[in-house]
Amino acid sequence: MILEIKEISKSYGTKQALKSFSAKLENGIYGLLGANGAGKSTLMRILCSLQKSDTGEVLCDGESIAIMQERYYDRLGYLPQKLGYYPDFTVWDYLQYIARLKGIAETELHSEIEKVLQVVNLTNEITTKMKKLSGGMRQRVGIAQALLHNPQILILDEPTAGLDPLERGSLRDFLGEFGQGRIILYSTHIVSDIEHTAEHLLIMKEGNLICSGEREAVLRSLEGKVWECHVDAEQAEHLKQQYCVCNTRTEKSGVIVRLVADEPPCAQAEAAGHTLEDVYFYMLYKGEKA
Amino acid sequence: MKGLLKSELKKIACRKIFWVGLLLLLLYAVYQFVPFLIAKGYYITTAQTEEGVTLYGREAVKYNQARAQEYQGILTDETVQSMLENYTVSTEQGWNSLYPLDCVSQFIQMHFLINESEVKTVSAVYPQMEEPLYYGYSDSWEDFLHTINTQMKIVLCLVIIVLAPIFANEYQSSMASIIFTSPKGRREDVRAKIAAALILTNLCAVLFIVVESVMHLAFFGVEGWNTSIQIGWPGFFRSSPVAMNFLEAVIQGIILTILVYNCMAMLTLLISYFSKNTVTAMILSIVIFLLPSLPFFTAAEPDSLFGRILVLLPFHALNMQFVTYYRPITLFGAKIPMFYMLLFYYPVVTGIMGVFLCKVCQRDNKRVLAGN
Repeated sequence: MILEIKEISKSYGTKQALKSFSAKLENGIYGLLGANGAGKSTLMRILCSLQKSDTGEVLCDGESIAIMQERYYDRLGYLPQKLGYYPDFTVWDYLQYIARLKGIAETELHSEIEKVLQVVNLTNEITTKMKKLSGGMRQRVGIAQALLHNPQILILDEPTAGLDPLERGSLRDFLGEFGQGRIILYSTHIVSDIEHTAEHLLIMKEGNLICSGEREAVLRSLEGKVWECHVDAEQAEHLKQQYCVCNTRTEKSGVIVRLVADEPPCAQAEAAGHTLEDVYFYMLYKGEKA
Repeated sequence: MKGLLKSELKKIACRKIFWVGLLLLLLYAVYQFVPFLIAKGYYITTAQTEEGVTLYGREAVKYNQARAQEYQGILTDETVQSMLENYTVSTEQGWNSLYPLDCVSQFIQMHFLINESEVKTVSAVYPQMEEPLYYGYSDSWEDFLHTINTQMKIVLCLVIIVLAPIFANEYQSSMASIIFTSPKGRREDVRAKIAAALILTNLCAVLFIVVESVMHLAFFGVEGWNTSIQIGWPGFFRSSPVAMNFLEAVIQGIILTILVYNCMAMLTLLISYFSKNTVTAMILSIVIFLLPSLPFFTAAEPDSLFGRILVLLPFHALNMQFVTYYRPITLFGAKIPMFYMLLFYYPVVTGIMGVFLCKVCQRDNKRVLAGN
């Protein structure tokens, strides 16, 4: 399965949400990272054929998804950023409806719904009305509906929103297993969500794709370039002006500034292990400086 | 599609407003009927005998029906004369002293008496009629048609309120993005929504028609079914140029009700889809339905084109008094009553709207979905 995104642009009035975005997605887990307003949701809606792009096209195995229509939806599972539901429907009613929308036969409905509920650990809430569920539980139902009919392309827009750390960990584990032989694209602005799960990264800023590649390769780009400097407040301000600062931490003894630089930025600098968050901040910083 | 239809019906059934509205309207229908049972002085359940005894309720109805039966048949000037002679009180006051609370005397007083000594002819009272009129008991049938007209308009407003969220709520609740990215979201589910809407609409129409019919028939019986609609002392249909009896009027009224209901249902769904807002859809649909009730939209000559166009509007098509007010249209030498025009017009318009809605849902992928 190959999903090709070719030169997609989209504007809302004067604001350009996507600028000639191109990417090629093959089987694997893709983490789409970007700040709020970077264009992640717009990209996902275009990939789901919910919106038309101003330019460009999306191809699934060489065929335009605009032409494929139902054949494309047959392969697609989508969790939108804001999950819709019917307050007076039970979890069962809700999933039953979505299963029917996805064309699952009536004879298989029961088993399919039970399967996805087991994945999200909600089998005990089957008769609970949607309005009575907590935000996190509702989000898990949303993930469950996206998994119905075993989609080959799974697009999840901020799937960990509203989930507690345990639930987020479970979701990460599940996606790792589920992602075999499929395309999973999920977006977030929380780096730790994709740090241990995504095999490939796409980092967006203001509608542009500023970084893409395998996670390991992207991480390696910052090897030996992350430093932690134990300085006073004045020096910390000075460092912020000159370098890409990923984090500052104020302690009793001073300020610990974590930054990215080719060389040690000051005498107090100590080499630190690089993380995906450092990469993310550095990419955004590079984009601003460019 | 059966499964999706069940889900769509379930969505409607989950709305409390539907059940509360339905119950209130049923109670209202029954409440409207209570005066027949207990009120004194209500015109069709009150009669005064020759001995001056006042009857009420079913007794009065039976008495009126018996009085009308005495003159049942083609209405001629001789019949009118006979009625006058039998109801004249031998006093100096002449014909003005007719017994006031009897359906026959009220009919004569209302339509034929000019003054104490002058009486109109049948052709003068009904100049629009070429065919002879059949006299008989008419009170309850005329009231039934009038009640159905009013009641069904209120019920239709409830139907509109219940149908308005069908598409709009999908956008407002953010379900649209899930529905439209599903294989069956743009075709089968749209058809299921339309089917659910029409099932509900027709069930509501039939339920209220049955409730009203059963109440009326149980109390008044079928006497007078073959009376010409122009007969009747309130005279709602007096000016109608259409040769028709009350049973035919009721049947046509029921058919038109079903057709209008389906058409308004489809219109509401269209507005619901395009507006993407339940309240907007509700208000707009109800305004479109009720706008023709304004005085500008009611006054028209029986032969006018404007009047015939007005009849095409749902608000007026529900009113048999309005439908039967206009002369048949002559097309290629054939006289076609307005009812048959509507019988053709409404299914076509409903069908066109339905096909249009299906096509639009299938093709529309340009719209930004609200809330996403």
